Amino acid sequence: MNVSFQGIYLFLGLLILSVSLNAQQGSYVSLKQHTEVLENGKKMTNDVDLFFDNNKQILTKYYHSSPEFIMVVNSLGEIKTYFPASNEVNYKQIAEMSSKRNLIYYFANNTTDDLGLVDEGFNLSSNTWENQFYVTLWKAPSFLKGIETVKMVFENGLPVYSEYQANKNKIIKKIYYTNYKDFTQFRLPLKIIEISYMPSGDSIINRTLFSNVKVSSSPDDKYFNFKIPDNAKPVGTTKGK
Amino acid sequence: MKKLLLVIVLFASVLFVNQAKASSYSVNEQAIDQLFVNAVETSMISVNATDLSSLATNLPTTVMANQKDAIVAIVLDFFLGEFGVHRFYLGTETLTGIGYILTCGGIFGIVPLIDFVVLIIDNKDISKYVNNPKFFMWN
Repeated sequence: MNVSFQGIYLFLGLLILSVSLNAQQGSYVSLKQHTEVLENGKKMTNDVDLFFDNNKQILTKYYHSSPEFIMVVNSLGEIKTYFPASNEVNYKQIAEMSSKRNLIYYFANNTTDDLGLVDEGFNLSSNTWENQFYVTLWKAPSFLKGIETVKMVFENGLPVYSEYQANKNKIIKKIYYTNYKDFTQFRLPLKIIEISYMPSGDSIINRTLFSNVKVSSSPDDKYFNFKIPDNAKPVGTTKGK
Repeated sequence: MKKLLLVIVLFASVLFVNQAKASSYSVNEQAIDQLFVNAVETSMISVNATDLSSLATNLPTTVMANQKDAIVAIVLDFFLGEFGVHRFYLGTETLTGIGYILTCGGIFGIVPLIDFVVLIIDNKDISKYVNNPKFFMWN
């Protein structure tokens, strides 16, 4: 009897150890994001360094823009925007901008079934197979005027395409997820192309490239859970709806 | 022989449909690359300062300056950020998400997100877009 209890304790101990080790692996994700937006022959580019603490679900974004700024967002949508040049900080809370409602969270946690559509109020209306593609159709919430449905297409379990429809005959947006790379705990598309179609016949193309993706079990950069200086001057602090 | 021909035709049509489906879910990246290569680089901040200065506001200049950076930062992050790309907030009379941010300082009024891109990149006069209740303001 003592031997069997020892066996159980040993098994439970190994199980707990295994779970805790898995929880530590890949908890800190950092990557570079290069975004280009093209409209009517003109383009704008922007570079961001992203640091995601998957344990605390805090996302830090370092924008290499002018002015440069650092944005820290938590799962409640509490946003701290810090401007190093002027040592100023802005506080806002916007639930829709929660760290749990962004691509890095969805992919790092392998929750890519809807990529945030449910959070936006969408409901699954149908799902079907088109050869190797698994196609889901989502109905938009009533308050989101201008969009009727969103089609999401998966290949090998990964999202490869999304399509926004104003109605059956009018597509207003297409998103392509390509160049997937395996990072052991999750897979991430290294290129996302988003095309928005405007009534004028023109379109806006947004191309996002991810690079320098690192996954570690401990924070290896100061920007993980970045701390706003204590003497930073608060500006324009408000609470979102 | 006829049966064999029929099988071949059926097989070819199934293959054709499969290819058509696959191509509709993929993008011509070379064509996209060429568009970006040929495009002229523009800057958001220089455009934004010009647009903001043309708007009427009751806010003191210093407050407006501070609000501008914070709002620009959040809008830039919202639009160019890695948020679940299924983010498609458009301004309506009911304030939601980014629309609320843009109105909290009384600077932009209700500005649809996709329209904001047009304003940024094309550097258009945005005064006509302020407090525009239309959903697609370009209509």
